Amino acid sequence: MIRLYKEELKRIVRTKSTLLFLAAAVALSVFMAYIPVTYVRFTYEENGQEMTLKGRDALALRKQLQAPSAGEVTPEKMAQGLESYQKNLERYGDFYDDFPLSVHNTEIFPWSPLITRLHEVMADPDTGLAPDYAKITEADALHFYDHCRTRVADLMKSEQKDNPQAQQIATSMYDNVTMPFYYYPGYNSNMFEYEGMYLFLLMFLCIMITAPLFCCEYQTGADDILRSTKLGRRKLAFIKILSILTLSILLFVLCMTIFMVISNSIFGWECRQTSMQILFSASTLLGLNIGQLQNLVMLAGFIALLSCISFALFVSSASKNTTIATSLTIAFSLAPSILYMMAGGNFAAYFRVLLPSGALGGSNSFSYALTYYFEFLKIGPVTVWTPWLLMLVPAAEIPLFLWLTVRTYSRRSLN
Amino acid sequence: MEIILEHVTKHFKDKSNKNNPVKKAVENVNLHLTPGVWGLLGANGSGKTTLMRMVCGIMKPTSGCIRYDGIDIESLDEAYRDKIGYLPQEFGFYPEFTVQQYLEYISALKGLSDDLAKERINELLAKVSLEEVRRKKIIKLSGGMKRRVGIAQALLNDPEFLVLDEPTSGLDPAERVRFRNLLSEFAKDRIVLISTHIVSDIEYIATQNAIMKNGEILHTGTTQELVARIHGKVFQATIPQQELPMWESAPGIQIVNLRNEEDGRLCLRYLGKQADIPDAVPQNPTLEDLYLYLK
Repeated sequence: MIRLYKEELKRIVRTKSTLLFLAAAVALSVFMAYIPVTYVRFTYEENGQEMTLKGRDALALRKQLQAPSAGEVTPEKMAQGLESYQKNLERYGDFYDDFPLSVHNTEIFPWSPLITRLHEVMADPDTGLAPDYAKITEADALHFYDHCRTRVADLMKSEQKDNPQAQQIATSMYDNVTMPFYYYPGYNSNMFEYEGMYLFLLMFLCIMITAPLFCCEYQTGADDILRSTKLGRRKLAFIKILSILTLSILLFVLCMTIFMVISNSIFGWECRQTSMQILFSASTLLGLNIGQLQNLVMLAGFIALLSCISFALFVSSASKNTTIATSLTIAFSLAPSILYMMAGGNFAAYFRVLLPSGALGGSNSFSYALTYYFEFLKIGPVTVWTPWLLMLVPAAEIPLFLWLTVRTYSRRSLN
Repeated sequence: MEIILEHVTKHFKDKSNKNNPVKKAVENVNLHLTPGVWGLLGANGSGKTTLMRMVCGIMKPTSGCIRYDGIDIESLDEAYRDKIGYLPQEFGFYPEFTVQQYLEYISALKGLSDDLAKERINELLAKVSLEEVRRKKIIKLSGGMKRRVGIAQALLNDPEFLVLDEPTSGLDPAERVRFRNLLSEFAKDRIVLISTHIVSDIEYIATQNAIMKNGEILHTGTTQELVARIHGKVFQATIPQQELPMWESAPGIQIVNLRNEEDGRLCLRYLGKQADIPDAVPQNPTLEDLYLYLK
């Protein structure tokens, strides 16, 4: 069996298309991790002229300017930031754009990540609209964390009007959020979109590697010889599954390591300690920092990837040719994103979480559900937060699809 | 060692035929295979491949059973497959494999250890004269060479029961002779089942033959026993060329061979109940005559 495992792994890796997809996955991990920093811009004034820095230089300057707000987000820092903001509002007008660039860069920009969150939690409980900055008081800033809790409760009352269970779950989840928050400047929330996009692309590449695994044997006629050999039935199916999973897991670990090392090295490893509530929204229900969030998104991506691979294996074991298997698997993998864009409502939401790739994609993805939405699904009498379903359902589907694959392959052509 | 086929039947769904949605590929086949070379003769579509796939356990019979030394092959499962070697009619392989890599892969599937696999691969590559191309990709080999790779893979586990479906297609005459000799040497104390529609492949080496038509086994026996069935029904006659159309359409005459003579006349070998053509001379029947007679 071990010899067969090694031979099968060698066989898969020898395939030209596999090599091409493996190389593409590694190259994309570098590209997707590096590309966000190229979009970082920072405009400043020098000798009366506006200058714009790009890329890593812009990032370095942004980090340097926001250094005062780095570290623990204390109510005092909030108050200091608010004071600076309000002082300039009085001087230069009501609008953010009215501030002279140099004033903005030295007095507003350093505090903006904190002030934005204070502004957010002061939103009206009925309308959801945030007040004018001028109306926020120093006392509000000093009670920032109390306002955070109130804001979550208010938000849940409006978002989950008919589901008191969801409101209760959200409130108790938020009770577990670690306070005070932390902030380390530099990290860009867009990085999660790139991480999500990369996981989505990696899923396609893995599907392209996996989909031909069984059906190409039916197509080339190699199958008859394999099936007539001692280990050519269930054990071969098992070995094939094990080989493709080994390869995919190694690829995932390698590519995500590259991705994380590059992106965190560029933006700064200290940014991993930033609280999610400062980077995304103060009402985010999970008490994680960016490093933990990166890991959780990776884990959800990994589960979804394995689920998609398992589904691809099942389709491959049941299809007559590679084109059908690949197209069908890709269609199913795209379905959650398409459903999310085309159809709203509960039915689409349930269907999306049932699909193996439910956690991968654009705005339907796990990281969006985790950071921006307050989506809960009712399963009978139980209410579950959607991100948990986006992890649990694909995880449960992995053994199911693998079992179906072995069963389908072993029984194929017998009848 | 024996393999017994009892009332083996295979029916397929025929979606294209609404009046008769069941296609009978193999019908009530009974065979008792004992050591030696067995020739399974039949025209294309007669059910040979389906029967062979069932004998290899790749396909389940609709009814009936196949026993190896008295035990149903389905229950023997892996233990049965450990004893067989199979070369299908269509020899499929992974295009990225070289000859060596392919044989290493199949030897792993057959459960051979590393050392034994190396030994067997070297031995078989020498036997099928493929040593020089062992590092070449199979896809780049000629049809005959590919066939020899197929034969080598079937022999890797030194099988007790070797099943070869049309093994000589694509082989040149010298390769056919070499293949026949290889099989004769191999077949001692083993069962070798060869399906073919090329009679000469098995005429000289088969100890027993089975003739298949429309999914059924029509006759079994040694070549001598089988050809005895058409004793006195094979003739040879020489006719003027212009008479050929007349004899071709004559009832009860089946021309099996034509040869141009130097004097412009034609020498016919034909099957018939009697010597209808003037001056016809009785001939010793061959397996090919029988095959064409039954066809």
